[in-house]
Amino acid sequence: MSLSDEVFFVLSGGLKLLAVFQPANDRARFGILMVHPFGEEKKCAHRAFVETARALARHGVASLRFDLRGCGDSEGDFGEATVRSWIEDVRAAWGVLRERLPDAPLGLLGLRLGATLASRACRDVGPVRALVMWQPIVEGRAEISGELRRLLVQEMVSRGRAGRRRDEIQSRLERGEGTVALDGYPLTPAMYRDICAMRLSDDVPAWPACAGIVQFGRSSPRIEAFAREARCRLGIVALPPIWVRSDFIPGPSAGDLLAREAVLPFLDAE
Amino acid sequence: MAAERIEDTIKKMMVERLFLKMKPEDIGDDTLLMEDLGVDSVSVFEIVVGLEEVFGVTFEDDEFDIQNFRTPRSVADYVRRKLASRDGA
Repeated sequence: MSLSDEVFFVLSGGLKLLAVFQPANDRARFGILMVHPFGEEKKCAHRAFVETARALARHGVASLRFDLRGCGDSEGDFGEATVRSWIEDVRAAWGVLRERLPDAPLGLLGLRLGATLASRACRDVGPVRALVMWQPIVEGRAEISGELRRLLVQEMVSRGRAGRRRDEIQSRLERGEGTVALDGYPLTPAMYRDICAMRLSDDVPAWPACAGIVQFGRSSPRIEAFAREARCRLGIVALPPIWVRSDFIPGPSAGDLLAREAVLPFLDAE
Repeated sequence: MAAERIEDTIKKMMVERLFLKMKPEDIGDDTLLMEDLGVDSVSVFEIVVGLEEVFGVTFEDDEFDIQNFRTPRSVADYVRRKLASRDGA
């Protein structure tokens, strides 16, 4: 257990966002802002974030992890959040981290949608010395299509058959009609449009020299191809996908592995 | 050398992708995926993606029927139908 964690609120758009600052055990040689993934993936990945932050502290890296508006313990309505408002939250949290560590180089670390938000935030905050993207969403439209397919599989498991098709759901969202519950989290038409419009390649010009992508368990040809084109570093960590495996609870050893193999090499790449 | 049975390929794929703590040969052709292996909807989705990658088939949304995902044998039969449909097209 770490007694040095400091819990407080960050203000963003008039909302209080819960944040946890993890100081480095010694003088911070780097500071990292951690951006969590979407919906249920955040819940699954929570412990991995905690253990990673604590392991990073032992390696001289301070961190700030926080809940985006409408998520976790933060104020706000998940159904009213947009990508733009979440980027505003990242910017606010970044400002707090900068206040805490006025002299240390700072970087962004995100998982899944959090990685893509971190990538997008490179346009708005600065200077960013390192960007570490854990299994980022490369193409928002393809990601949403996959998520809707996962929803249909859930329906099949609970009812025997999937009762609808993705194109029907997508047409309704594109017309602005209703919302879709993804593991209980509302995917609104506004969020659907926002995520569909996200393309990691759009952000590459704003990336710092130290930018890297980390995959979990096995390599995806799609991400490999993207990393080659974007000329960013690529790593792979021998852990299950921490954002979907609620039965895998990372302990300190997993946190240490994540820190050593999925964060630190990307901070020291220069 | 004889080609691997589709059932065995599926068992290997499941053990790897679902991080099952057992050997593929410990899974029977008629083992119930949900009741005996504790496969849930997240894992079924992983199986669907794995089948598409391994066998080069595509499952349409309106083909999602739980009868095709009861056991390794039913999954293999489903894959055989998809392969036959693809190769006969």
